Amino acid sequence: MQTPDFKGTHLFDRLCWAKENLDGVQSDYRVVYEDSVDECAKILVPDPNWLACALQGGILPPVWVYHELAKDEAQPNFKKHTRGYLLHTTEPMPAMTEEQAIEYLIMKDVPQHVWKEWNTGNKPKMVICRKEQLPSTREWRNAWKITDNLTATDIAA
Amino acid sequence: MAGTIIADTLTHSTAGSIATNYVVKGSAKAWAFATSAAALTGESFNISSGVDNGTGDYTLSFSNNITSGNSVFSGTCGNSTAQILSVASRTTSSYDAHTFNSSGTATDNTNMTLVHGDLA
Repeated sequence: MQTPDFKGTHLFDRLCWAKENLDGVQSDYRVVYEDSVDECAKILVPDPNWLACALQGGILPPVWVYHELAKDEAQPNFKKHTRGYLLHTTEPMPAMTEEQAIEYLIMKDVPQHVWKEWNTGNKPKMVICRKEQLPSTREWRNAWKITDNLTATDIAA
Repeated sequence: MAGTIIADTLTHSTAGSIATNYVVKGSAKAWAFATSAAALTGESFNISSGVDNGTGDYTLSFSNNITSGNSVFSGTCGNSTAQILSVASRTTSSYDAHTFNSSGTATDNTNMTLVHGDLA
């Protein structure tokens, strides 16, 4: 199905169109990351409706738009967004592959200090894996960590 | 414009009238049904991802940010009795849902959340 020309259309309206017209896509990818040495590993799961939008193209704004809004919200006197128009007026992203969508989602929803420095330190702070590679039960969930034996070379391989 | 109805008021034949901005402002801006591992089933809207932060601790992120973290977040747990859900860390881009058992101990559970407010 062809995406309508959504340039300048409110993002919420684009999401409504997608909800009505696109089937959700379940990803097998999971993003495991540690944003604090004192906390357990966290696991990011893409939303099927969001992934359908990413694969379709012409719906989602570029990820830098979210970063601009995050900068605004980080200001000490922030009360409300005044630059929400960036979500709606910026040229939407073209269709992505699933792998590109996961990269986009990492930059959108994983803390920047994790993905910008994922391979600095003694071990990787972030790993993209298949859901089958996660533990099959949630036993000791709050003790899960990325293994110390994993290197950036292992991930690249 | 094709497919568009522009109206300020909806009028029922007997029940009265309502301004359409009540409908727009009153509609949920995001909702999500997530399993106890933060897996999203597709029963969701305006959500980009779920994060499993640990036992009974989940983060949900918006596709279309809301304008203020002081919007209204609500939710409930699924399946079991005597379960509690609270929403914390509310920002314009995400929120955390925490699930507990009746003793107040963090416990994994299906969670269903809903957000009302204004969009960015």
